[in-house]
Amino acid sequence: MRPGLLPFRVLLRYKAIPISEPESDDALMARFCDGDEDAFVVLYDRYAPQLQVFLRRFVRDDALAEDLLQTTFLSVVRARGRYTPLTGLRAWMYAIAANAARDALRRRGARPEQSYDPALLGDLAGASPDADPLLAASDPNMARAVDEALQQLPPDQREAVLLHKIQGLSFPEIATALGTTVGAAKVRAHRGYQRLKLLLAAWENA
Amino acid sequence: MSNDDPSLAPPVATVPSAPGLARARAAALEELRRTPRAVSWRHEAVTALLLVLAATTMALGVGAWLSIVEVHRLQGRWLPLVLLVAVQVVGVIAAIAPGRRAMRWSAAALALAAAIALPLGRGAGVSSAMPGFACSTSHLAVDLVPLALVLYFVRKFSVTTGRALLAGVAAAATGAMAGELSCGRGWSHVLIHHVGAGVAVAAACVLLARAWAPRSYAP
Repeated sequence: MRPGLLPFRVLLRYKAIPISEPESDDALMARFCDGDEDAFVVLYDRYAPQLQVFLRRFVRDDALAEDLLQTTFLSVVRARGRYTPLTGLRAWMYAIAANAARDALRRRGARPEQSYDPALLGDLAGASPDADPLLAASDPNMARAVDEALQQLPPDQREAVLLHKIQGLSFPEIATALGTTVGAAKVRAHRGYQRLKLLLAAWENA
Repeated sequence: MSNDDPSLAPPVATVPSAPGLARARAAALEELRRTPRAVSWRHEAVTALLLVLAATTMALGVGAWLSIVEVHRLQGRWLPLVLLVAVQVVGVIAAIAPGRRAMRWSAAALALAAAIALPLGRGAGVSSAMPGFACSTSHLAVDLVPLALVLYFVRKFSVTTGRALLAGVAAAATGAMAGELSCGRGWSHVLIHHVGAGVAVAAACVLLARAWAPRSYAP
């Protein structure tokens, strides 16, 4: 070997990964599937706050949303062998949260909402204005009106609007989360927006 | 709010501050320590399939031992029997595999083809002194073990009505095979007491799967 040159094999093994670059979801998921707790904690910290906001807005019951967050992550741990990278981890986690929320609401039946305080959303860890645009609204009355209007949408339209506008998912991700096609997800969101527009126009006039 | 890849964003926090977040994380970590290795869905599907096929073989074996199942009928009815085995194999895998919409539609088409082929293959048949419901009851009894098996596996994820229906149809295929090898009556009897019993098993699977909370809500 000539002095001053690295052997070719060493060069092949060398990967220039900057320390600051975060590990991708799929790489973390692969480690998590092998039982790596650190990988799970990184994924948890990445997604739990936004899922918590989504669940609170979805079920409008703070105590139930807390339980559902726990159920969601227990499901993630138990069923991690069902994850396929094609799905995308964010969409997969939202699908689990939405399934758990839908099932909880179905089992609760017609029982009234327990306790829900939209202002609490601002106190949640990670629930920054970046995570929830309604928190960034300059007019708190407007934010409350949007929140109330969202609750008046049919459940399938509310899910699509929440996931698209509030949680920032793309339509392919929403389709995965709702177990439907991209076209159907777009139609649900479009109908939801139309209805929201009417509801908010009535609020403005009032 | 953007739709950019979230994996490129830095982690929000290392230690969750809200008690709800901390509680959920602790519970999930405890569960992870209990089951450190993930079980792939393929492993689950193959295990379920082998167990259901073993239950079917055992049911037919016991039936033959009791002289209820007549093996000589295999010759004339091999086509519907092959169809029923295909329904069971594709049905179990399609019910468990994540995604794979096309496979679920194929399984549904196979089940429909079997439901049509079973009465069509009979013609007028032979008369029997036994009441018709004896066949329905035997069909339901034979399906109990496969039904319990498929329910055990589909409860591991968030089962939809379509998936539960396919799992139920796969379980009902056991009784249908036993019926093909033990009953020589005509098409109307097969339609009412065999296909009808199969539909009842599939419906029961849907109702039971929806009634019990699943172990996980993964799609």
